[in-house]
Formats: sequence, C-alpha cells, structure tokens
Amino acid sequence: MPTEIENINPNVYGKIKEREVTAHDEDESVADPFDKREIFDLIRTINDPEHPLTLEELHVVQEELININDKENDVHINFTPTIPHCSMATLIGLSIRVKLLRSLPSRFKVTVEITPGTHASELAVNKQLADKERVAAALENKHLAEVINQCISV
Amino acid sequence: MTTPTRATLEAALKNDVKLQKTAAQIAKDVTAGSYDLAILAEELGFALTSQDTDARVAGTNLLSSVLAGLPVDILNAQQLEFLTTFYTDRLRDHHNVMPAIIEGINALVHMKNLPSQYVPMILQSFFQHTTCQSQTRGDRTKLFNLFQYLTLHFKNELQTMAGDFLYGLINSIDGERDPRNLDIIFSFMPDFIANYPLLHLAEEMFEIFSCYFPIDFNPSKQDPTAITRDDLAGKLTNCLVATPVFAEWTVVLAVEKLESDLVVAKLDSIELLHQAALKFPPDVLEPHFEQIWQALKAETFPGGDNVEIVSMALKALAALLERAATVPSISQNYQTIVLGVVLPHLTDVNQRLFNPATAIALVCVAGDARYAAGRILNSFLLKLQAAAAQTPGSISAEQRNKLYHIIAQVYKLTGLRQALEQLDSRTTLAIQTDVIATLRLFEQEGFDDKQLDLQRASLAVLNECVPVLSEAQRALVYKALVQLISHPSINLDFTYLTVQLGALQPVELQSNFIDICIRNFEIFSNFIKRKIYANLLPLLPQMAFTQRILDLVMTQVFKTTTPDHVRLLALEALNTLLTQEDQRFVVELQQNSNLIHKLIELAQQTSPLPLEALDQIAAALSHIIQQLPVSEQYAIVSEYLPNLQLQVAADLYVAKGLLAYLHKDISLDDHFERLLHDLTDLSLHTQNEQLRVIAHHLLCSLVNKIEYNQANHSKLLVTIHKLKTAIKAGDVRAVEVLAWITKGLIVSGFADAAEIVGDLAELLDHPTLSTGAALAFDIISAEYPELDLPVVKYLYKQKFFHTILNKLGNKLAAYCVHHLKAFIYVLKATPHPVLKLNIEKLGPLLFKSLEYTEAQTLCIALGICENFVRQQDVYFQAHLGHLIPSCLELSKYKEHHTMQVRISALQLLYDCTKYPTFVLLPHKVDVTLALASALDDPKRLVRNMAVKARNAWYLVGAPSGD
Repeated sequence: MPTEIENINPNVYGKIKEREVTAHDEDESVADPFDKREIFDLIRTINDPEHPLTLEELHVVQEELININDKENDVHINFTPTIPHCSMATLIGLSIRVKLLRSLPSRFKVTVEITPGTHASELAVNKQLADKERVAAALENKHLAEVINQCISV
Repeated sequence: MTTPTRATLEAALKNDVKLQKTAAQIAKDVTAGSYDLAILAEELGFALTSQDTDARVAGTNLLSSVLAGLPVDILNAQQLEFLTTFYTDRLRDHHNVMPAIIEGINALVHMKNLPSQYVPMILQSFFQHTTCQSQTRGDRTKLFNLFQYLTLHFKNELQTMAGDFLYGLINSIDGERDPRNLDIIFSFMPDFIANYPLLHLAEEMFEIFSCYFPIDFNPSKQDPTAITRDDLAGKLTNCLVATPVFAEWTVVLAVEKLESDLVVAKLDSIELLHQAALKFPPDVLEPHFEQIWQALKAETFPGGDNVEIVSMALKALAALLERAATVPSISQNYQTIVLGVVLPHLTDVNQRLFNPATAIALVCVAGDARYAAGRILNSFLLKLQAAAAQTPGSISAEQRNKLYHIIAQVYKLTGLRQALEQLDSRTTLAIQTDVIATLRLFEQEGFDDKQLDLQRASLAVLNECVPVLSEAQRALVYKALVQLISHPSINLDFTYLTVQLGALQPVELQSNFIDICIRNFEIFSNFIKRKIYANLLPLLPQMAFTQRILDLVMTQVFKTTTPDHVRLLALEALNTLLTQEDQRFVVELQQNSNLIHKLIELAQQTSPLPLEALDQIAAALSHIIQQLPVSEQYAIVSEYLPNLQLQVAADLYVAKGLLAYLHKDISLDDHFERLLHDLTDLSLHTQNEQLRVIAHHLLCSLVNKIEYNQANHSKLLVTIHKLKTAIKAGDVRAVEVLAWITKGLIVSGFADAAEIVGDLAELLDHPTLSTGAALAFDIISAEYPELDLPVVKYLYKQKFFHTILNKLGNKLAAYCVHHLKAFIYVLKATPHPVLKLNIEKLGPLLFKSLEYTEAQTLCIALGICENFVRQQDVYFQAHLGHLIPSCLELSKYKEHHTMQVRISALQLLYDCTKYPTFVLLPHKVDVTLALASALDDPKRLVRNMAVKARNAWYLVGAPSGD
C-alpha cells in the first residue's frame, strides 16, 4: 500500500438497491440465465485499494460496461480508473479477475479491460490482465495476494 | 487482667502470631479500662528504645497493632499528643521500622480526639524524613488511603500547610507504578484537585497525571481484584479534567496523543477532549478551540475506517458545541469556524467528503440549532434555487433525494431543540415550497409510479416541518394528500404526517382531508378504500376524529347493502383498530354498541358470508373477548355457545372467535362433551380443509385448557378410543385429529399423553398410515403462534423429547426411514441446549438423515446442523470430515435436492469457514474444487450462495484472509 493517497476527494456515487427476488427466482422449474446484473453484483462489492469505498461507489465498475453472452460463454468487462494516472489500475483489474475466477463457472471466457481512453497506460495494463501466466504468478506473490484478498473479501 | 510485664512482652515479641495475639488482648484490656495505655508504653520502653533494630521493629509493631485495635474514641487529647510526638520522632528511625510507624500513624489520625493541629506536624515530619515511594507496595497502599482520609477530613489544616502538603503529595505519587495504588490515587484525586487551591504547583500536579496518559496496561488473568484498563483510563481522565486550571495542558496533551497510531490512544484522547468539553467552562476552552477542531477534523473529515473513532470524535465535537451554546458569542465563533469548513462540501452530493460533512453539520445543529440550522438550510436553499433557475434536472433526483433527507434531519434536530420557530421564516418557507412542489410531481402526466423515492423524501421533510408550514402551504399539502389517497395506483404511507397535522390543525385536517375521504368513500375503488382505512385509523386516538372514523368503519361493516368484498375490507380495518387501541377503548366500544352481538348476528345472517369475512369476524370476536373481564367473558360464552351448530361454517367461526382466546379459568365442563364430539366428527367427515384446521385448533386449545377431573377424563378417553377405532379402520384423518389432541395434552403435561405418543409411534410401522404418523409428530412438536395454549407444563419440550427418544430408541438405532423422519420433526422444535446435551446420541442420526432424499427432512436436518456449526460446536468440528462431503453432495443440482436444500447446504459450508483454519485446511482444496459445479447452478439464488461459500473457502488460510 502506498503511503500517499493519489486522489484524496474522488466523486462518490450511490449504490444500487439489492436485487429483488422475483417469483421466477423462487420457482424451481425456471432456469435463470447469467445476466449483466449478476456479474455486476459479483464485482461491485470489491473494495478500492485506497479508500474504504467499493468500486461501485467510485464508478470504477458500472453495469453498462459489462457484456455477457451466456450461450457463448463470454464475459467482457470494462473498468474505469478514477484518474488517468492511477497506479492502482492493474491491482483493481487483477482483483476483478480473481474475484470472477473464483465466482464464475469455468466455462466462461472472461476479459477484463480498461475502458478505452480513460488511462495513460491502457494497453500495457490490458496486456498484463489478459496474460494468464502473469495473473497466476501474481497470485503466488504473498504480498500481492494479501492485498487482493483484502480487496475482494466482503 | 494482669498488666503486661517486661517478661510477658518479651515473650510476645518473639514471633508475629504471638505478637498479634498479645496486641489484641492488650487492646481489649485497655478498652475495658483495666489499665492505662501509659503503662504499656512504659513496660514496652525496653523494646522501643533498644539498640537492636529488630527489637525496635517488634516493639513499634506491637504498639501500632494495639492502637489499631482500640476504639477511635477511647484515647484523650493528652494521650494522643504524647503518641503523636512519639511517632513523629520515630519517623527518623531505620527504614525497617517504617511499616510499623505507618500503621501507627494511620491508627492515630483516625482517633476522634486527635487535636487537628497535629496533622500538619505528622505530615511535615513524614515528608521531611522519608518518602512514600521508598516503601513497599502494601505500605504505599496504606499511605494513599491515609492521604485520602486526611484530604477528606482535615481540609482546613492541610490548607494551612499550603505548598508543603501539595509538594509532599506530588512527591509521594510521582513514580507510582502499581495499578492497584493508581486506582486509589485516581479515585480520590479529582475531588482533591477540585477543592484545594493548587497554588504554583498546578503544572507539577498535572504532570504527575499526564505521564500516565494514555494508559497502557494489561491486567494479569489471575488477578483477583481485577482492575481493567478502561477503569483506570476513565479515572485518569477525571483527574485530568478535575480543574479548569488544567485546561491549557489537557488540550495540548489530548491533541498530541490523538496523533498516535494506536486506536486505544486515539479513543482515550478523544474521550479526554469529550470530558474536557463537558467539565471546563466554554470561556476557558475558547482560546484552544481552533486547536481542538483541527485535531477532531483530522479524525472525522473525511475520517478513517474505524467507525468508533469517528463517532466518538463527533460526540466530543457535539459536547463542545453544546456546552458553548449557552454563550452566544463563543458559540457563533465556533460555528463559524466549523461550518466554514463543512458548508462548501455540502453542495456536491457525489463527493467523498459529502457524507462526513453532513455528519459534522448535523452535530453543529445539535449544538446551536438556531444559528447552524439557519446557515445550513440557507446553503441548501441556494442549491435548490440554482437548480430551479436552470433547466430542471440539473440536480439529479438522487441528489435531491439525499438533500431532502438531510434537510429532514436538520428540521428534526431543530424541532427537538425547540428552535423551529426561531428559524428565519424566509428560508424555511422557500425550502418547504420546493419540497411541496416535488411532492406534487406525481400529479403530472406521465409520472412513473415506480419512482416514489423523491415523494418519500419530501414526506420525510414535511413530517418534521409541520409546525412551521404557512397556511397557504398547508392548503397545498392537503390538496396533495387528497390526490395521493385517491390516486388509482400510488400507495404511499403518510400516516405520520396526517397524525402531526391532526394534532396541530384538527379543524383544517377535518374539512380538507377527512371529510373528503369519507364523503366520497362509496365511489372509490377497493385499493383506495384500503388506503383510506390505513390513513384514518392512526388518527382514531385523537378525540376530534374518533367518532367520525368509528362511524365510517361500523357503517361499512354492518350496513346490509355493503357488497361482500367491501365488507371484508371494513372487517380488516375493524381488526386493525381493535389491535391498535388499548383495552379501555375496546371495552367501552363493546359496552356502548354491543359489538359482539352485532358481529355474531352478522355472521349468522341468512345469506352466508364468504369464509374470509367469517375469519375476520372470528378474529374480531377474539380481540374483544380477550380484553373483557373474566365474568363478562363467561356471560357471553354461556349466552351464545349452546345455540351454535358447529357443522355450519358460520357457527364454527363464531365458536372460534369465542373460544380461541377464552380465559383459562372459565369452566367449559358443561359443553366439553358436545364440543369434543362435534369437532371430532366435523374433522373426520368434512371435505373443507379450512374448517378442519379450525376444528383442530379448537380441539387442541380446548383439551389444553380443560380441568382434568374424573368426568372430563372419561369423556376424553371415549373420544380417544373412538379415534383409535377409526385409525384401525385405516383413516388418516383420525391420526391427524389424535395428533392435535395429543399436542394440547402434552403442552399441559397430561399424564397419559406419553401413552398416546407411543401409539402414534407404533403407527410409524403401519403400511399405509406411516407418512401420516410421521406428520403427526410434526404437528405435535411444531409451534403455532396463532394457537392459544395457556396451560403450559414447565419444560414440556424437553420432556417430550426424552419420551420420544425412549419410544423410538431402538428403531432409530436401525435408521428406519419413517422413524427418523418423525424424529427430525421433533428435533426441529426441541430447544437448542437440549440438543446440545444429547449431541453424542443425535449426531449420527443427523448425519444419517442427510443421506435421505426427502426435501423437507433434509432442510430441517441442515437447519439443525447449521445452528450447531454457527456456534462452532466442538462435536461438529470433530466430524467435519463427515459433514463437508455430505453438504457438497447436497449442493449439487439433482432431482431431490430442491433449491432450499442446495442453498442450506451451501450456507452450512459457508458457516463451516468460521472454524479455526487448521481444521479446515485439509478440506480446502476438495471444497473449492467441488463447489465449482454449484457456481453453474440453474438457479441464481443458489449461485449467489455458492459464490459466497466458495470465496470464503478460498480465503481460508490465505494471506490476510482471516
């Protein structure tokens, strides 16, 4: 963790309400497909590494920036760092990846990328996040794993 | 007794036990007047003046012990003078003698006749020749107790010593490390400091306390006189704020220690500031306010993760502002400083600092409502007006919503401080106009019925500002309320507002709201009627409206032309009314209008009512009956019960109303046989399940209340016999009826109940009735809150559990399906502590039942396991190897595993993660792998639980996962 906080007064947004349980949800005979909201619920509670706030409250992740195709097993997520030079961007992306790795069925191909045009070193970060070997290696690093576990433990 | 001689004394001085014994004897003799103390002193002279230190120690010890043993009033001034001189001289002696001297002085100062001028002498000599801190721990305790006694009883004398005493005391305390002694010091010093002038030594006095701050102390576990850290910290804080003279240093100390990283230090510092705010007068603290505010700001704005620190800091700030409120000039000075920082951040709802800013702003309002509320409301008004001037929508609904909620809180706090009327009316009126306009948005075309958050927020503000609404604004509010209530699809709760308005403006509310509702009542739809009832009933307690509202409900209930569905609504309203009002009101209502009679007539009218309406009538009857005195209950039952034909639905419902909650002292012996017979018959023969349920409940409650005399007993046996015959013929319904009767009997502790339970247990082997029999155990053990069973045998659940365990024991050991199922039903209702006592026996049964395929049983078994696991039960910890694979199996999507089962199994797996890491680690890999399949469950609710469980398991033993 850095000693200096980069962005001291970020904008904070409201949280959306808890998903309401519908009659369909209770009905055993209806299958519920994966949808945007479900993926969003998985990652919106991840904590920001700098502030005691969630990614949702900082609008780092937004429901509109998630694309999912349940039939073709594809999940695509864009996230938006609060400032273009945010050094935490990789860490945030990694946290999202790890959370989904643990929470989604393995049939999905998950892509996590920075929203185009919102970060200075967008391409480098995207490349790092797409590299399975590097993600796995990051989790072997005790200190990194510690920070990530802190971010994604609810 | 003989006077002591040198020989006897010498013998006594040989060892401690003898010494104490002799001292006690001498004290007794002197008290009795056998001889004078002077003789003792004379005889003891050899020891007191001996060259040998040990002899002097023993001699002084004896003398001091004698003194300690004497009554406080026996020695005269002359004797005491002599003794005082002796002891003050002794203070120069070898330090080994000191404990004895301290004890002697301690005894002396407690003497009643001691001339007070000697106290300074003793102290002076003490401070001159020895120091407190060179004594042992026990002696220091004695000394501090001595100082405490002196400060309480010799204030004048000690004040004549001026600085000497203070200096001596400061030296004595300085460096004390023992928590027990510190506890004594911290307890008596605040009073001392507050009552004695500290002269030039104030700062020294402060220093000896401040060096302990913040207290760092871990009590040892074996300590019998457990002093906790928090005790000491609290007492030390009292010392530090004991006099306003300390204010300057206290503030500096607290602010300095607040910068620490230790949570305890921070909390102690904030508490010190809080206490300082409470104890020190505002004018003393004023010069330091800027300093305090900067320190508190660092903790609250934006504030860290620790909620406790933030809330404590806000509390301290609130205390500071509240104390200052008595002096307007200081208060405004404070408020200007604080609000100056906070107000700019109140404008943007979306910023991180907005929430901390509102918290501080509200604290300001709590301190000086008139000034702070005025300024805050003003800044909100500017924001709202800016929004109105620009295009609508420049401030989002969400922002407006948040603003309104804060405005509501500001109003509320101001109202609590009785300062609403003192606010600048131009500001409040403008804000209220904005709020009312927002509320009335729903009247526009194309309004989205689902988005009512803003309207709710507006109502929240209006709730608080009722007293300062202008007449024109009230008129608008009434209009809006009428529109709201007659709106065909919006259902907003604004009862609190109508109640407020009713209390302040009864005439207006009557003509502008209530009258309109009642006048047009007939033409409204049921949805609106229901809303009207919901909003009018809370107004009933207000005298002005009682009669009108009551008339409305009664007319709707009893008018013959009312359609059934409208009557049902009215009956529901009547029931709400009966439950919300107090006993006096209900009794009066019954006496004035004979409501029971009318209701029974209504139920029995020629054209039959629908069952829902009858059910409401029964509920209303029960409500009234319960509130009446016993004698009246009895009269009513004897009047109506004999004429009821229980086969008729209407009469059955009336019987339910009359009997369900009847007082248990009312004897039903005369009707018992008939009721028993009719109800049993009804249950065995009717096709209507609803009526059967009522019959069962009545039977259960009836046999529970009845007195077990010979006659009743035989009647009961006849019925039970009849049921058994029916059971032999294979009638499942008879099993059910029998179960209900047994339930009533078991709860009341009837002796033969165990036998019937045995009969039911035998049925578990029956080829066709086994399922029914298993359900019977569910009926017996389950709780039915709507069922009135007034006679309750102490610990009947435990008894029932043991009966079952005995009856089913052998079969359970063989894991018979139906027995196990019946047993699980019983376990569900058995109190957790009983299960815990028998877990060794029950554990294998529970695990076995997790292998069955019946969803309901599985759910109950999982629920019981969860209760144990949640409390980190040791038995389950030892059997995780069994439990976890079972749960993993149950979490899979299969035919018999319903959603409930899968979710419960996953929940159980999640709860397991609370066990210590070392027990879990062997299972971690298996669980995380196996849970992957649950992540792809077709049902979302199951997936959610699976995600929770799997993520928790990943954190087991992971770095910082704990």
